[in-house]
Amino acid sequence: MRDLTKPFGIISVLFFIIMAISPVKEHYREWRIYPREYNEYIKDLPQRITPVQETVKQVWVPELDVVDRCTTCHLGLTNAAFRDAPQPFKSHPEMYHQPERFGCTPCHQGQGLATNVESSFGFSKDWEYPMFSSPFVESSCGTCHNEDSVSHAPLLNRGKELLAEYNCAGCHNITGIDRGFIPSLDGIGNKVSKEWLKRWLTNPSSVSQNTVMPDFLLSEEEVELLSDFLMTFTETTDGSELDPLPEVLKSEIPESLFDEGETLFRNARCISCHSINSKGGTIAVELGTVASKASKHWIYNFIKNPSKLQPGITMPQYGFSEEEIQAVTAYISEEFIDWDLSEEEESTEYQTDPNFFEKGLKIYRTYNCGGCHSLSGYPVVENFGPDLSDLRNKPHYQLEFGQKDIPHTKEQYIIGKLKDPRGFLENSLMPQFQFDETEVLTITTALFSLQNKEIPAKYTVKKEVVPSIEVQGEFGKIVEKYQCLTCHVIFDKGGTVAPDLTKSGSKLQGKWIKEYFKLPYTVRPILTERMPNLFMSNEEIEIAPNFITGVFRDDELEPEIEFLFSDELITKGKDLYNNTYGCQSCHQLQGQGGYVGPPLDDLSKRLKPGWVFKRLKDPQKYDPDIPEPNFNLTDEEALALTAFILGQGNKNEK
Amino acid sequence: MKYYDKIMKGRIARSIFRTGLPTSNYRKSLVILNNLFLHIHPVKVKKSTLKFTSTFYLGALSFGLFIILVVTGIYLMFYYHPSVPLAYRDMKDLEFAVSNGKLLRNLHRWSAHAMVLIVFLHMLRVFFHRAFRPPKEFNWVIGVFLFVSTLLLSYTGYLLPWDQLAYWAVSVGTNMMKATPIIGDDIRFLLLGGNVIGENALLRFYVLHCVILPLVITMLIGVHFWRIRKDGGLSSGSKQVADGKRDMILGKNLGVSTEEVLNDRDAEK
Repeated sequence: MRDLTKPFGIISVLFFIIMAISPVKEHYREWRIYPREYNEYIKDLPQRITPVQETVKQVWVPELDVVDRCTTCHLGLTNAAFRDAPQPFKSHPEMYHQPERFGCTPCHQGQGLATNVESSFGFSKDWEYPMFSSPFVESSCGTCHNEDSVSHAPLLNRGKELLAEYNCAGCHNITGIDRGFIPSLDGIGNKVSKEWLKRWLTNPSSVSQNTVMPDFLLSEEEVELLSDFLMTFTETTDGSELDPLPEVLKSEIPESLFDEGETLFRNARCISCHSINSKGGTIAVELGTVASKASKHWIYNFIKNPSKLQPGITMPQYGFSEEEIQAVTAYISEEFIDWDLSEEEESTEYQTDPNFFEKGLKIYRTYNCGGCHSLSGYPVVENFGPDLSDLRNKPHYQLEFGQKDIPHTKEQYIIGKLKDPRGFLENSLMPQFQFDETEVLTITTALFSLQNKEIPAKYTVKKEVVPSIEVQGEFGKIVEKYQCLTCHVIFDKGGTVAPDLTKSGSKLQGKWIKEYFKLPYTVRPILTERMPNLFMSNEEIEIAPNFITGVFRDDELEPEIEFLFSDELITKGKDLYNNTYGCQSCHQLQGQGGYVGPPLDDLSKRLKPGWVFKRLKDPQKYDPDIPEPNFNLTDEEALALTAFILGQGNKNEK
Repeated sequence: MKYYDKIMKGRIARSIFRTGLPTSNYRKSLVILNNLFLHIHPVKVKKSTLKFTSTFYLGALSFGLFIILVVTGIYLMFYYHPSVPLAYRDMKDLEFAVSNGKLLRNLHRWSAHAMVLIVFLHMLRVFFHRAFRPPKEFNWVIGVFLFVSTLLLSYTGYLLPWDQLAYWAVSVGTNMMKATPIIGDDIRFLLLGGNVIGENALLRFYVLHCVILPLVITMLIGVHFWRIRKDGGLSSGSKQVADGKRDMILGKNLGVSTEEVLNDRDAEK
């Protein structure tokens, strides 16, 4: 037997060296190096900063299930002295939540447990949630903040709006976003021609540039079958037929009727909501080529009673007489024709499939048309597409990249899916939307905010749930008929285009309201949206102002001050107006001043003095978004200004 | 030397080491026989069995790996919680925060992989040396159980990191058990403590991996080693055991005839 002492010795030494590698590596780990570098760095700073120990620091938030060791190396996060420091010591830009209380990964994601740079980003196979790229961090705000509008998160807010606007909830399950307005397809056979429908189905955005309807990339045969199928639906939702077209509209339209229609069209201010050749309001659909889309018969009936043909539509039912309806119909159907449209070319002869109804219905169901449209007898299908309510936590392995040549990250997947929905798998049914780059980013941000994970109530901000109060009675009928809530808010419900009416009884004078309903004018000339002339009946004009001045009141806005406007007070107010506060820089008075605020002429007929007084004292109290500065006026000053503003017209009467 | 003798002949030392120093052949054998750790060792070992090619040291390597696994395993138990929210996080802690945690975990992991391989090679070696033949047939059977225990330890340990790999490996494994006729479903239910791989399954696998299977394998190793000695020492491979020379009453087999021993000695000279 050989003497093994020597080999044994050598092997022992080797083994010792190998075993020593790990402790040496331990000494040079990143979480030890960066604190050392930090201690070196702070020596050169003008401020005196306490050095740190070489330890792993972690933020532990049990309620959020967060263990974050980011602050081990990011040592200057909350210190303004590190604004220009190199990473990882650089201070955090604007911080809305303290890292000691929330950790870092609830917003940024990534691997909080990691103690080296590479692993902390989390782009490895053993971590599901890599760090967000900068625009998508905003999505994290949405996980706890459930308000409609989250401050400092414009992308998220816009994304959520877009999710609702494009009605993504029509096919996907999205928490917190309800299915939006669904244009009913009932009676479509009477509304449009098959030619138009075919053009529309082939590519909706080529017909109407701003439509939210996506392109389903249907084949020519599918378009034929689907339009044949849809053209069979001629009844309205309540099952009745359309009122017959009056004789005068059937034949050549007399010029006088057309002219009357044009006047009415202008008086009714249709362009407040509708655009014509891309000019006008954005609330309702483009009317530039509407006559080439909808039949005269349908337009006539629609103006007569919009919600009968399209339940839930925001269009008011104007108080037109029968003749006026005919005139407006005549004007619309003669004026708004798409002249670029090529002449009817019936060159391709198409044989209608004998089974077109069944086949069309199958296509209707395959592409989940019922997700956005209602069709009597064919119920809405729920949650057709993949569930998006937990997209934030969706495991990576569930993302099917197919043959798509993009980096395999969740962010790239969503972006790619929004840009080219069918590019991933062949059997994908998602239609092609017309999103621009910003829309893609904002929608992706909003989608990443969706998760089912329970977050303790302590950390969440709830959506303000306001008990909805319906306006009842005669006035309630008026509100419904004229769709006031499309633009105005009443009891925290309604659109944001026009002023909140809930307290307008304390603000406006009944007489003025009455005049205004008869002939609305523009209070703020710089706005596009203007109150339309609704052609209300005399009876309605009696009811509405009485209701508004009687019910929509707030005691707070009606202080018990006797408003006696003496000349002295007015002079003092004038001085305050012109010199002390410089109101004329935004407001117009007798043709002089700025354009930011509304003109202040003739306010005495419109406004109640109590409201003016209170509003001057604290402008933001009643409308937080108003740009008017709060000058902290004294009672005396406010009274003087009120006197000056209202005294203009009042002076003679008193 | 004076002090050494004094201590070794003192009362305390004598109460521990009863046989004294191995100064003669008789005392040498007494030392071996009276010591718990050495009694499993043969009094005399043939030089031929110590040759590398006769055993490739595979059994000893397996045992060495087992010792490494026990030691690192105990260390790991200090850091590991067999619970769903913490199991995977503990892996991350070992990687990112525990001193030398990565070394510890990797030692355990690679030793486990190596042990499966070495135990398998050991089995092959025994098979090709025909070392399973009488009187070692029972030790072969124990060896097979040891092999199975090794595999089970490896399998149960696989779930403990609680990652995707573990989850799906155990899904596949337990579904294979389910395919057993008649009792398949029950076996799966018993092993998982339910019908899904969840908290209960993790706990059961943990107890199996850290308590039951190590106990079983330790006992089997003891018997395995004991039987090597009782069945006549390591088989050298070159010298085959003569069938007729077993002493069944003593359960021992000297394995070689006096003639062969003498021949060996002559050859060495």
